[in-house]
Amino acid sequence: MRDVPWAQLAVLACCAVQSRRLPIEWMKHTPYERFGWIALAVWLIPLAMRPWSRDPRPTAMWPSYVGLVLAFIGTVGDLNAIIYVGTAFAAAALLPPGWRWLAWLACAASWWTAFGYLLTSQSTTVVATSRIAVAAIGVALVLLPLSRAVRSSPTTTEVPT
Amino acid sequence: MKRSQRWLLLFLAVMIALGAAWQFVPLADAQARLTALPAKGIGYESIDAPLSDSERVIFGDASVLKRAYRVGSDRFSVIVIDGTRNRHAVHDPMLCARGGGWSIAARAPFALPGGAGELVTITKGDQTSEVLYWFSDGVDRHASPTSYWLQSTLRRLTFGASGEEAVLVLLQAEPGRAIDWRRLLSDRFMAATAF
Repeated sequence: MRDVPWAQLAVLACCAVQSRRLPIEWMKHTPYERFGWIALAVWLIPLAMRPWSRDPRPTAMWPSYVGLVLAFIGTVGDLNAIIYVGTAFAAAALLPPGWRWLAWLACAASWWTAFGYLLTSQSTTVVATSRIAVAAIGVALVLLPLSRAVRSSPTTTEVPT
Repeated sequence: MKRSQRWLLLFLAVMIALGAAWQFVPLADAQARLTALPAKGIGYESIDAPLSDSERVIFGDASVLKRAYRVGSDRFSVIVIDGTRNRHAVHDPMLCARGGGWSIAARAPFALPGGAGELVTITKGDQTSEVLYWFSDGVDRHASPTSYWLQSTLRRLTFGASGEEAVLVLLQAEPGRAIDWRRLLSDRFMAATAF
């Protein structure tokens, strides 16, 4: 078990509090926001698995700073879309950065309200399915290489003595 | 705890304090422009329409003017929303129309002094109606929700120094009846208001 990143978690909690309108948007707003919560649940899988991950790479602090600044701008500027981007950065600070990480972070758009807004020309079913598909692609990009690494790493009985 | 973590916590505390202090700086609203819209005049009259329960929830603390106008034989409703006190009350009108079960049949730019609005034909079953909307800070007019969001965010970040609050102006014709919006706005309506 690795050290608990309390400061990054505190930033994530702060950003999450500022994102408190998001569940209201998912449940009560336009039908285009429906199932955003499922997309978020899927997108968070890499974070939920992080305590048991064997990935030795360290996390970085800068995504927490970026997330906090964006959440601040979104809060004082009264623009939720920026807060949600900030929250995604704050959550991403709990994983080691890399290009797959960047792709997963981009897939956070699947649970933003902007996703439904940009796809209003499509049916609500297409939008909901796309949300979950985009989140799943992001998760696959981060987790599949790790699962391959675990499978290919030699066990103690296989190591020649 | 590592030093880098302590710095992050300090930054978090500063941001929270700064964010809390920001809320105490008052922001001028557009109430005066809302009340400037005359309820009646030569050749036209109106009645204030009550907000529905769901509208009351959506608009919250925002200042909202909702009236039904009759200008000659033309009948239409006017909704003006000032989101200074609740920015989230101002949505893309077309998103709301779609959410309400309307389909967009046609949309076209509509030239206005200081910019352009958008004239949209919406349909729902057998019903057809025209909606004309724009965002206005009293000088510039446009129909872009994205520009409105950036405008209002910049205004809040600069404590109002970037300009007046933009309001959403939405005019909807009575379903099934066409209105010559150009004549209406140039002859009577626009001339009587600061929108």
